[in-house]
Amino acid sequence: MIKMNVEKNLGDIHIKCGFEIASTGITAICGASGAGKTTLINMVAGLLTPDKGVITFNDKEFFNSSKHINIRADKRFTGYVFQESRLFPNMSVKKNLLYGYNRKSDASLVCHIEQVCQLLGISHLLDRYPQKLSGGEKQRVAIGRALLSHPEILLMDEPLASLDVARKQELIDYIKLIHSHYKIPILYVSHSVDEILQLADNAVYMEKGELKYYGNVVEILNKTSLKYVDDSSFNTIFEGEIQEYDSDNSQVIISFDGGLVTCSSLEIEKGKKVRFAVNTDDVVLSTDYPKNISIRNIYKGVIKNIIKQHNNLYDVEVDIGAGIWARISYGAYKDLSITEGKEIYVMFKSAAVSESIKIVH
Amino acid sequence: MEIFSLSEAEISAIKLSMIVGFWSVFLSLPFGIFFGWLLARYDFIGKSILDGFLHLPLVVPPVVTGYLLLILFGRRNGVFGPWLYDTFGLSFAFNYKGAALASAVVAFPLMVRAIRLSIESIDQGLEQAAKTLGANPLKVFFTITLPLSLPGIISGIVLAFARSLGEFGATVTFVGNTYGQTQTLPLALSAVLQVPGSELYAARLAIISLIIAFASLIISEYFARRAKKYKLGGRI
Repeated sequence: MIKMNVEKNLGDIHIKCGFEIASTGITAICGASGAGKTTLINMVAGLLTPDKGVITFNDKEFFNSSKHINIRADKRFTGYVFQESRLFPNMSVKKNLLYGYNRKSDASLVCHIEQVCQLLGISHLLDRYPQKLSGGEKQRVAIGRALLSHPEILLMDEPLASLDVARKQELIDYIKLIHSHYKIPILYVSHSVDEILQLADNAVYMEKGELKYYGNVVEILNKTSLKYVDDSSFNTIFEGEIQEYDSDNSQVIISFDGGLVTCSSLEIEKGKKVRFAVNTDDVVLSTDYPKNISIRNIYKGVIKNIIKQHNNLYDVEVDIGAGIWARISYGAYKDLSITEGKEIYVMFKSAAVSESIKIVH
Repeated sequence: MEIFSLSEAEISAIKLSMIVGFWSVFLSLPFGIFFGWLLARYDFIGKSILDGFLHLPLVVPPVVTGYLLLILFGRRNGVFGPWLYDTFGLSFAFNYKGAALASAVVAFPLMVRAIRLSIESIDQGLEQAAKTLGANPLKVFFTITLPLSLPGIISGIVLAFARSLGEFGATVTFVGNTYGQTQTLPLALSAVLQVPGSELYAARLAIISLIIAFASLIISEYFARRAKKYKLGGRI
């Protein structure tokens, strides 16, 4: 369990945050830039001291202002991967990796340099110096260094922010691998929905220094997407499991709370957990069951929520087992006589889903 | 060829200059690193006063520095002088120890400045990273801060050494101008100039001083350049 209940005044921003979240799995700390994400994770690491409050990790009190407890950063057993790799320029990769190797606690992650190097693909870099590494290599060494310091929890502060798109995906796969191999809890700061969808189990959402929501990552992302409700459309995100992959037609069938989705995709193993997004602009509503139509994914649901936008567009949420948002025009709103509680058919094309499928760790 | 061989007096002056320079740098280095680090890394009440105080010898006339040293460390009437002599048998009067102390005080601001700048230029993120990897403050200092500021420390050493070679005013005020004891190169030069008809000797001493000072500057420049390269991503 990670428990945080802290306040800190940083002049132009006041951090106020209280949550309690399972310490297994990956927890994303998300929000726009300047929302206080890095401040939060630095407080967990002990690099910043809150004005008041409590920080607990698995019954260990890192910080408690009323009891005057403030464990020093080097005694908290957190492995921190920073946005910039922060490798020590005066040491070889091997010395960097082994810098924190000598500390250990009862709950420490146990790992060895050979195995870590093999998992991260950095065995051939051991004698080099950080200056001679590429951005992706640096971050992999930084992750290795954090793992080898025998941490009880990994903290990652936008570790992919300085990488190009191809390297980003590569590193996400490494993080997935590390997590499935070592099962170490991770706090992951990011503002990228793409990264969060692939990695996180839970999420903490910050806005202007204050905690807004926390809980299951899909729920949080769907809640926060409403924040952007304005002229631009937004996505509804779903979590599902691969039921079947038809290699002849490159089609995949995913089961989710609303039923089954069919869409084309590259091969994904059966049973894998995936997340996918459907844009509000791609969702079509119909009062009757549509016949002879090319759209593959049709669901029956009940209208749950209607939001009128200032430009006379309507965002309609339909409960099909899970909530899905559709954006319709005033004309459609009128003709279909959209009202809360009305039964309606929801459909979207396979193509609207295909691009967005993300395999979860 | 006689002109190229050094006289006994000249060799004595050069030797003494080197000894004084060595001791003044050697003994002030730990303090230089401490104050450089303190000023670079911490904000505290009275920081600017301390900073100003450490810089004083740079702007105060050296004679005044020498006079203050006399008041503080004079063996008979100084504030600490008699105590130092009674407890440790340490006396600065008319010997190279006094010359070294005077040089150290005068050169100290240069040393602190160089070290402070190089510690300031170290990314504090690296120190933070070391902390999260379990390094206590002492380990952080000796494995990260000190090695990364080494080029600056070396250039501080060279600067302070060069400054102590040129030290005149404070030394002559504090410990006088005694042959073989406190008569370093500049003091020897000044003594020679008092004697009519010794212009040639004076010129020789001046040239020797120039050569030593120039060599120090080249060494300092060399390390400064290495330090820059280091920061851009090369290694020492």
